[in-house]
Amino acid sequence: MDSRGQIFSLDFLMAITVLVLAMGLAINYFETNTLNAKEIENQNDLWNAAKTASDVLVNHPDIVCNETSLFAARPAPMDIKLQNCLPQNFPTPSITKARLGISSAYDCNISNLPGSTFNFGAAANECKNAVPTGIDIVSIERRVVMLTNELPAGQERDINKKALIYCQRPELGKSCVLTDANISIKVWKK
Amino acid sequence: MKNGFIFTIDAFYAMIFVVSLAGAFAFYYTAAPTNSKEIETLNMKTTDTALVAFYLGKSIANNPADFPGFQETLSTDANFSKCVSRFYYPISRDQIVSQTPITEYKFCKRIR
Repeated sequence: MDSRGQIFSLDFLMAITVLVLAMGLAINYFETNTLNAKEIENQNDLWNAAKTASDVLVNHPDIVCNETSLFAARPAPMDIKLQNCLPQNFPTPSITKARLGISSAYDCNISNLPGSTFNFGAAANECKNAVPTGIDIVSIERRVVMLTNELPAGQERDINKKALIYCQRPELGKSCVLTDANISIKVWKK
Repeated sequence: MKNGFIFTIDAFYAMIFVVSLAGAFAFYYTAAPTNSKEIETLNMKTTDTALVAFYLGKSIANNPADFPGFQETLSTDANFSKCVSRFYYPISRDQIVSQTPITEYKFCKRIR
């Protein structure tokens, strides 16, 4: 440094400039991060609620198809629950928010996707709310098989072993009571 | 300081170091990580599809149009890849051991 009024060297000025820029970037990052944290947490909660509900929908023993024995009289103790198999005509009551694990803080809507013709009837009363606009909604689509049996009320979910084998072995050329279908569940915060 | 010099070599090194550090920091936080929700969705789709195929006796080889986006082998060129298999064991009341071969329904999907 010389004696002609110079206070800082150019190096020092450059270093300060870079340091200030770096500090500005860091402050901006942490501020944005804090603001986003709550939003991300809310979105994760919503996603978890919808994911859980969709998992329960395709796995719950009171909702999914019931594979019955060919021989034993109903109700047979050996009935097997078929995950990802849903009856076309849902028995009532079957789809409730409590059963799907959806808390009272959320609303839900279950609907058919193109190609599916589920009749939810009163079974899905608690999940037939009109889907709102302008808020965050998580929509999850699940691929399932739709059971179209013509058994009387109380047996809508039943499929016997023989009927299931007819579907699993299309080479036998028998008619199948299961069809490929898609179902959607939407969840949002009230 | 000689004529024509703007800053010393030390300052130049320091600037390179700071810029590299800031660049690495920015890249780390802006690079799109594989989303956990994407992976959960992948798990869901492969599991659902394998089950549907198992119930309906369909495979990718026989019905490719029913399973768009699925392969029968695990991808090695993906960020994340998942396969789910379901096995159909044929049974017959007339045979103690079935002569019909076991069918595997294998469905793989990937996130690139």
